[in-house]
Amino acid sequence: MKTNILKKVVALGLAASMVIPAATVYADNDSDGKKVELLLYHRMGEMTDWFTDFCDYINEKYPNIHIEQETQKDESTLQVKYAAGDDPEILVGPATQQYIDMGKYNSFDNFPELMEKIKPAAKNPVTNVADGKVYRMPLCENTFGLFYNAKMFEELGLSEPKTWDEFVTVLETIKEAKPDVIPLYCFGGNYGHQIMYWAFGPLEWDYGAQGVLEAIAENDSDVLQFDKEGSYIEQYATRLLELQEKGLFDNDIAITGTPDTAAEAFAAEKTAIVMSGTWWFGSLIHNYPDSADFVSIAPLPSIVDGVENPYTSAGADSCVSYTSNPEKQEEIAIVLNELFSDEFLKSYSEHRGAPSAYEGVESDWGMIADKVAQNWENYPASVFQPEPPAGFGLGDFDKLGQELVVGTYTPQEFAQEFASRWNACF
Amino acid sequence: MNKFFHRIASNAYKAMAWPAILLFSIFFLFPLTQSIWLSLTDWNGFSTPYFIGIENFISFFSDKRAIADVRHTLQYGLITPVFLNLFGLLYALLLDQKLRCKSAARVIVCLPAIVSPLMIGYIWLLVLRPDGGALRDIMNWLGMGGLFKVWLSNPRTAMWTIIVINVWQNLGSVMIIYLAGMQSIPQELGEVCVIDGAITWQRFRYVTLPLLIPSIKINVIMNVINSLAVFDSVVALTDGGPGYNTETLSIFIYRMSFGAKTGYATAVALILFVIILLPTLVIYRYLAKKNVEM
Repeated sequence: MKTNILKKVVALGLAASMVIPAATVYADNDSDGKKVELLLYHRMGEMTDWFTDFCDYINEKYPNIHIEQETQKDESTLQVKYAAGDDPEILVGPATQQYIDMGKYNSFDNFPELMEKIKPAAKNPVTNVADGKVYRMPLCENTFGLFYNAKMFEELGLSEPKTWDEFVTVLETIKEAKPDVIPLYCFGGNYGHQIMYWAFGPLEWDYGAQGVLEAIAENDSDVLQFDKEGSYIEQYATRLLELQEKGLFDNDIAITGTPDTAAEAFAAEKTAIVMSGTWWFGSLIHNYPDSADFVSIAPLPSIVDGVENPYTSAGADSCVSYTSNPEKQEEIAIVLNELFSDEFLKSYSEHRGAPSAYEGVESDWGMIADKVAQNWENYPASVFQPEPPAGFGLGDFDKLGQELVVGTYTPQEFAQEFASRWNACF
Repeated sequence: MNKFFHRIASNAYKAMAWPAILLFSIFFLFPLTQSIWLSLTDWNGFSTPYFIGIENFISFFSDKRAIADVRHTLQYGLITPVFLNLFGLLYALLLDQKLRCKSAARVIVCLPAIVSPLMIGYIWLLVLRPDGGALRDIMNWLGMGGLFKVWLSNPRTAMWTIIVINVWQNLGSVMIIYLAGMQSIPQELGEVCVIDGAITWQRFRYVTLPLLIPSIKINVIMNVINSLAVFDSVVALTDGGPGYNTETLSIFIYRMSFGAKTGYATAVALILFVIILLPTLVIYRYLAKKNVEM
């Protein structure tokens, strides 16, 4: 008898445990019936805490808005969302040209103040070639360069390399003086950015950022010249193999290494130079604060023979897009005005460890801030950010780079394969 | 009237099949027909798909990367089951004996099989990494540091490393099926063999092995299907690299599908379906002939 009663109580309890949360949700919806639900979708796991705080702030300040964030590192999830008709209202990061062409986003024409205060270097790369409008508004700027161990450089009497030959000499000196240190930390996911800045960079000097962007949009092989003899892609491959032949990077790490292991090795002073962007620097300082004592950034030497000036880069980072769906536009505008307020732009830049992209927003974003400003002043900055065609993105550049390193291609074959993959997307 | 009710009552069992038929149609037949249609289009995952005939299938046979991926898939999918079953059977034979700590040994062998392949992949990645990996440290400590190689970064050894790790991981589940099969063999048969003077090998060859055919069938077919469709462990260990040297067809399909070539990816998925179906049918028919009734 007692067992029967016990069974009934347990069954009732289980049933109640399933019904009560549902009832709570119903009650919630009922009381907040007028709330407008928004989704802020982004791909930057390292910024999740910042976006959580931002959403909490909005939810508290605006009782009629309920905004949630979703972090997805995998770019395919956005495509799944679009295919399911579950479009996020605000995106940070993943908007590609393909989605812009499909009319998924509204332009930032409705935010004239924002258009006025954005720095030209950050605005140029996000201006759509087809209609001159801005569909992706950056939260901060990004710069690429050679992050190096300044303490080690000083100890060995080295200075920042200005040409490729000087770069090779610096790496060789490090190798000779410190055999346990990897001179250049070349990792498996590094080639996309290397190709972007070392192989596309010289194209920008020849044709201008806009010229290259237009050439990419039309796949103009007269400008891009990927498979022409002596193309910049081929020169890049030759340079990389030259470094490999001289043992200036680790062949195994060049495949299995990641940005995280690069940061780990840099912080432990097991490597001297990492070619990367400020996003990498942000995570380095966040995870290994002690490395602030010796990290510095140098401009990139050109891979082209006879070019004596190094260059730096200034690009848009953490680009925000918003849906073209006419519903909820009023609430989206409220959220965007908050997100792009000086207070949040400053906070984002400092948390991200990257310079602000807006005039008048002074942020203390990191110990290399002055050095970056100095580089921007002294050297030309590449403002070009290529949007590779869908189906041949930076991840594929990385894979091709890995194949080059394991000996699949000669530099010429590499350039031809690159051209063939690229052309197949058009 | 009675006849009418009688007919309904006698046919009621047929209605019970409807839920299963419905689920099968929704979750298998409908997606399959949809896939066949999409494989004949240029769909990029968003816009309206346009019919392009069998162009995707023709492209597949001239796609160097896809053909290389077929080779990787077959290498992994046909070698892994051989080692899995060989070692699974050996372990089962060993742990079917009267041994001390038999249960503990079974648990140890089975443990990796209950962990997600992704987790196992990432754990091995940490063990095998060249900078700060556990294996290199252990080998250095043993004075064998010179023998250490980063097998995952070498195109010649990367796939073999993945195979070894997968065999190690899934050995337990294969062993369990063989053990269950062995324990269902009547003991008297073994005793009769002993009385007839059969040696251990003969007992295994002529009694145990034929009676294990149902277990072999399950193991081999399941292993071949799972291995030819492998995705997670390869992604975790090499992400298809170095370059594309360990990329399998499943990974290729995934990348194409989310690389604005969804129609092409669907065509490749259908080709993979055939690649899996053919060896499965051959193995099934071959082992069906070997079946022994007890």
